[in-house]
Amino acid sequence: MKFNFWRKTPLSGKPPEVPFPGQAGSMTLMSVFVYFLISTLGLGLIALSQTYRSWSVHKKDAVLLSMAAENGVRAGYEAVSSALAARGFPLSLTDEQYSELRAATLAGGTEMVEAILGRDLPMTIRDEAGALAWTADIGFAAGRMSDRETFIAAAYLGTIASQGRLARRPRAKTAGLEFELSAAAGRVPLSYFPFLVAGDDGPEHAADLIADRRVVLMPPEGRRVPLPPAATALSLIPRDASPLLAETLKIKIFSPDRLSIFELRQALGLPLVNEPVPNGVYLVVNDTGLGGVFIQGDAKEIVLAADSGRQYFQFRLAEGTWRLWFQPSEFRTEFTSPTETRTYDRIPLAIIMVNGAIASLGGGTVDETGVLSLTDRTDIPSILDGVSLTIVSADELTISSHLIQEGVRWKDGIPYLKDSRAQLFLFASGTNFIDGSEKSGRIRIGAGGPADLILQAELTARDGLKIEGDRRDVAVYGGIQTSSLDPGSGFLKITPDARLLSPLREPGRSPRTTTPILWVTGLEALQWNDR
Amino acid sequence: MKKGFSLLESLLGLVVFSLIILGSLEFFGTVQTVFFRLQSSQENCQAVWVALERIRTDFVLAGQGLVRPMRLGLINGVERDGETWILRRANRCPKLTADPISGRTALDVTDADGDLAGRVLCLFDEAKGETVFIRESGDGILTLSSPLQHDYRAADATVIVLQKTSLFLEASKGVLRRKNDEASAQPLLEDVHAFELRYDPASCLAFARVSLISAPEEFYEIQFLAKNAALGKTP
Repeated sequence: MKFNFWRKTPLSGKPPEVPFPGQAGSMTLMSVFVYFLISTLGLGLIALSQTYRSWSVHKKDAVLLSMAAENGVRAGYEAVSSALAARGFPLSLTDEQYSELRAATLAGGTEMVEAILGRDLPMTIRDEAGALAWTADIGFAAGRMSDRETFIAAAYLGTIASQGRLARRPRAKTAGLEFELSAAAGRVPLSYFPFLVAGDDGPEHAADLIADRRVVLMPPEGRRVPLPPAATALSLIPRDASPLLAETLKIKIFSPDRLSIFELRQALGLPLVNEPVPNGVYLVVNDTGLGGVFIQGDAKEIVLAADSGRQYFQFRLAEGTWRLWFQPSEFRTEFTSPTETRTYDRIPLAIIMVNGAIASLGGGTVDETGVLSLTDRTDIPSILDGVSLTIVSADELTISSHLIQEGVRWKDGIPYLKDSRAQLFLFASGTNFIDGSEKSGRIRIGAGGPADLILQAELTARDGLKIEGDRRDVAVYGGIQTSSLDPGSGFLKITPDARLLSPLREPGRSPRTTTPILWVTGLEALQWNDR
Repeated sequence: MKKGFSLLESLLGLVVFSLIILGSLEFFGTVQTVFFRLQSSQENCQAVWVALERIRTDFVLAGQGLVRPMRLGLINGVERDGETWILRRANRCPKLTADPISGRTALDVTDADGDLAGRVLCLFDEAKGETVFIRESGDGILTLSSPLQHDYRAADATVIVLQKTSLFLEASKGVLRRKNDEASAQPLLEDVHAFELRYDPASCLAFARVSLISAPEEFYEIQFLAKNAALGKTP
């Protein structure tokens, strides 16, 4: 039966006789009171437990969210590192590509980063693991840059903005990392490569050397991770030393022209006759001051020494012995040939061009008469602090002793070059400076030198580098750029000179690559931005 | 006929109800004590958690923006001076408008507000650097308390004004305090019975442990990585 309204509640029957009229409901009231009391206390405890639980969940979530956000940052940085590792630097560029990259970089664009990573920017990484999920946005902004004659270098500020989430939770947490990616494009200085093998089988050769642990790359001073070796089949090491020759002689040589015998004789102050330059050592002097040192013929021995604020050189040729010293603080130079001694109140350019081979090069000591002799001591500096010396040989160059820079801080037997202002570049070009004939552009670590040889120098060998002698440990604090490397039975440890790795600093007189390339000079985390 | 309780029944009823009420009150009192103890414990836990979280954040931020000066050995992100922990990070980076020259006591910068006086500044390039107090600031010039030791090129050099955070326990009052630069120290946690903070510079791991006067046997602990200090660690 259906009703359209609530049925009227029928009256109950006659209430039972109350024993105590007027006192009904006392027990009920008491029960309600007790019930209310217990309920309040119970609910209070439940509420407290709920609060405690919420607080615990909040703490747990906060930790998990931090982990998720940090995972995003790590994934983002790993994505950048992996992209770099997969690209196989140095990358070859055409002149047009270099011009475009240079223009874009000067305009503040990030095209160079896109070319480096091989990906469009910004990049986004998404991933999850269990209940954790994260998203990382990777972006770059142009930072400092340096536009040089043959290349452009730039440092980009990279940011990774990560957001971490938990499944079935509305909250998210952010974390961030700032890092710097620096690179150079164009015909870059070879000193940017701590270890470069640029030859026909360069990549395989470099991989074998590293795998056999015949060559060990150490992290540069102040960094935590070793830089990767650079290997390419491109012939990046030049044969042409004309730019350095022109600087030494203080003349202009217009490429592709070569230096004529008359130009050379004029620069050296010799009679202008069509005869070869006599073998010997020449200090270039002209109206504008002193140039560098030009050596015609093979040098039997070149000894370098730094003492009492003076930079000393001794050149021994078959024709005789020449000595040179200069003192930058006093602006004094003295040049002694087998026949005479000349003094100057100015400083020469620290470039020595040897149009021949160097049979022995090393650091030495100087006695009271000014005579230099090779030494095996590692505590005797051979390059004066503040002097950036470049030695170029047309033919083979043999190193026979330590080459130590002054001002280097030694700690636990390890030299720290950052504290020194000296530099040494050695370059075996493999080409006669005058007639352009091909020579052996090889650098040899001679067998007669110390067993544990220390070379604080950049070594650039057009036709390969060879370590001679039995099980020798050669420690290079600088870099090696060569077409091939034969360690023999020896071991080579390379610790890059951090001063030469920054693309924003003056690169010195290191030879430039023969063709335009793109090279990453550093990837460095700068700061975490999460809290 | 109206019938009431006898005296005995009334007394018995009174006793029974008194027992019930007393029992209820006792139960209520116990529950109240437990409630407030739990509440107090919860509040303490939250206060300690907030304080430890603040310490963790300060340690994570220590060294932020100072990777290169730390690697040059100019600054430590985390340092201990007696019972005080000193944490440093980058606060501002004014741009140089002229080359800093050794022997000078002034730096030309783009952003030199008056409130930089008394702060410490770090000036560095890729190879060298130094830290020096700022005596005065204003009109694009930072006046330094001592002459510069090195020459720099404005294009290569970076200026960072440091922010210093100090953490220490005022043992006599049982107050853990936190201080930013030269501002007065603010209480971070009160009623502290014991506070222990350990930091391993090699691993950049930190460990903090605290107990309160109200429960000296209960220790609250946290362990964390000083991430920014770790970035600046030299091999």
